[in-house]
Amino acid sequence: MVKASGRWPVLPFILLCLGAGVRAPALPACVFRAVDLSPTQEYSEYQHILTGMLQAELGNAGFQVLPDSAWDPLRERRGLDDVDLLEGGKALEVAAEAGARLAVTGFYRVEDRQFVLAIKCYDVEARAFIQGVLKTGRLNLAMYNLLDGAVKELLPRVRLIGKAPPPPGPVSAEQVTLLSPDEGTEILLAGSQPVGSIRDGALLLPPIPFPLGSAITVEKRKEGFHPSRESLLLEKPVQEFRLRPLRPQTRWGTELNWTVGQVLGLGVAQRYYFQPDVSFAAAELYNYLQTNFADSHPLVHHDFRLLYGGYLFTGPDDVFRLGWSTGAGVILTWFTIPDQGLYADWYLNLINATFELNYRRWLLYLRGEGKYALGLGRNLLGQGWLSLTRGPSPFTVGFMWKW
Amino acid sequence: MVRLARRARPGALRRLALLLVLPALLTGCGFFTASLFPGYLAQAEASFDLGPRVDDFLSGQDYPWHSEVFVLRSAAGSDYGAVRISIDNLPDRLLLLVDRDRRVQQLSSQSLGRLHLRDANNDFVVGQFRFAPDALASAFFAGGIIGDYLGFSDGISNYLLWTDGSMNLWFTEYALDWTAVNTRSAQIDTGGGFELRGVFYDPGAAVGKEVVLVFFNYQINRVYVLLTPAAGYAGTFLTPLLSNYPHLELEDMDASNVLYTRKGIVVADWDGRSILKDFNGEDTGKGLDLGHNKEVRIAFDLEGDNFFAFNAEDRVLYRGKTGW
Repeated sequence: MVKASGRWPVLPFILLCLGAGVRAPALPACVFRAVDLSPTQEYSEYQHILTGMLQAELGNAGFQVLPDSAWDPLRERRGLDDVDLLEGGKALEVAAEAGARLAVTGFYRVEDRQFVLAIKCYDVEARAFIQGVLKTGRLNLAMYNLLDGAVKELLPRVRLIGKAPPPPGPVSAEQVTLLSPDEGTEILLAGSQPVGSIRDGALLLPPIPFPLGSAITVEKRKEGFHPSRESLLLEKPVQEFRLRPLRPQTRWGTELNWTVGQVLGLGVAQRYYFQPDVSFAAAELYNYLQTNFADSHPLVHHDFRLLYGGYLFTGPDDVFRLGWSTGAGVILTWFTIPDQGLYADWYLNLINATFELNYRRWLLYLRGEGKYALGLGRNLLGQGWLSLTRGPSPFTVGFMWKW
Repeated sequence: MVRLARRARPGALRRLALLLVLPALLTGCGFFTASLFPGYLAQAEASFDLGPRVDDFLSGQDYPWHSEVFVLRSAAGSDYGAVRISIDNLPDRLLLLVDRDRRVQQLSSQSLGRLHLRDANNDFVVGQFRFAPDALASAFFAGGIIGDYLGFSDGISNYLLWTDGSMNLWFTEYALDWTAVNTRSAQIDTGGGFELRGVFYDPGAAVGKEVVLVFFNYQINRVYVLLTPAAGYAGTFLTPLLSNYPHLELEDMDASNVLYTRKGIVVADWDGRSILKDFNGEDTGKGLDLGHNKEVRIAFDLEGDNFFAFNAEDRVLYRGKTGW
């Protein structure tokens, strides 16, 4: 025994921890002597070691280990040997008569220095087998680790014996109904478990015992729409949740826009999303007049550009989105006075920064634009960054219909 | 069956309204006229492509060249827009003259100095050349004229003016045939450093303010616009001039872009815009956008109603109305 204690210096700490978690009154446990099934008597000393270990650990786990005197006379009165108690039924009879709630039996066998260990636990009141372990190994000092591992496997289940039953009354959500305008939307729990689809605007979740006060996460999936997750707080046994509508996946967007510095005009644009609502290419045409009103001969400008763009930090579900785009274009200019031909100002639209208000079928945006005129060919703007003659760089407000 | 009701979102309408109003709030008064393109282009009534003529003149040389625009008014009251081209390190000059009938006249010579006026004979004088307004090709060389000075004519005599870098304005009176009558001087101020950069003669100006002189004082980096009486050039001045005649002082200004009109003094700011100031130096809120990226030279008629703008990069001269 001294040796065994020396090999397991951490065991007392483990047992202390296990014991600390037990608050209920100690339940009586009957730990029958471990049976040596070895072909020789050479290893009988392990009977005491193993039995002592089981008793000590169950005691530390909060059980009241009955002394041998509490059950040994009962065994003898029935004419049973220790080996007979390896049968669950007999062990349960003796333990029940001794007033135990838990019965533990075990045996070991050593042959050719090969060690075999088996331990079984029974719930006496329920007359049920709880848990068993079977371990094998070489007969050396590592055997103590083997014994320790076997006991640790048993304890989690054994500790459940005698726990108080759950309190009466409804503690779970009994009926959860999801309402959604998106017919046919598949609903998954925790992102992986399909639980049904929206039919006639609703889905009654199957009776899964969700505790009240907890939150469940449902994922909504539908072809042609962006998958979306929502977290629902369960507060009542019977509850309905109105799910947010799914966002359709946008492939095309048609824009109308209006730019400061080009106020007497209007732009149209067409976007194509390579990845719905994530990255796009756009062709844009803005026609406008330039006039100073008094004594003016207006100029007519046609600003055509191609853009590639995407979004930063935000997803299709977000109401506020930050976007960017870049590209190139040309502004064609006609004069309304004679003898002036067509001018073309080629430019790089190096960066546009967009702030979007994003709704399901449309969006509004405010876009700051950084254009650099190349000064190529017959042009009016020369080379350089474009800014308004009075004011900041141009910016655009726009509306886009998604389809 | 569960029915789902959609509700309007008043927040969305507020956001939409804010987005539409925001640009006007941010840009203020210039909201409707601000543009990427120079404002003078939308004011132009006519354009003259001088490219072939300028390119011919410049062909074969790589020196930097400069342009100057001015307006000559004939005795009949017709305004001619003039562009004078000069080349660094070379004596050659080119004069291009456009009229209301869209005719373009040209003359190239080494004697086309910066002097430009209508003389007492009602001839135009540019540098050392005299010519009838519609007969530039018949211009004749007048050796007595110092073509690099500035000057004016009051219809009786001709005057050439210059400074010597000190505190004095010098002027020579010429007879009708451009023979010198006399040369005199007047002290501008008590300190030196004055350079004469512009002379404008306005017979319609208030008495005593007919001749407008633009000085740049390089010692104190200041521009002076001085209104002087035409009679002083034939008689006497009260000196120093700046102490006895009305003037404006302008700081941090390119004196070559300070121009006179009856509506006020036009100055260039550093944002490519010509600004009209009244004769007290106050900003009138009027102006002309010339753009940022191209060199544009500009001149106005006496009334300030019309302008000539020469886009040196495109070699196009625009004539237009200021709208002032």
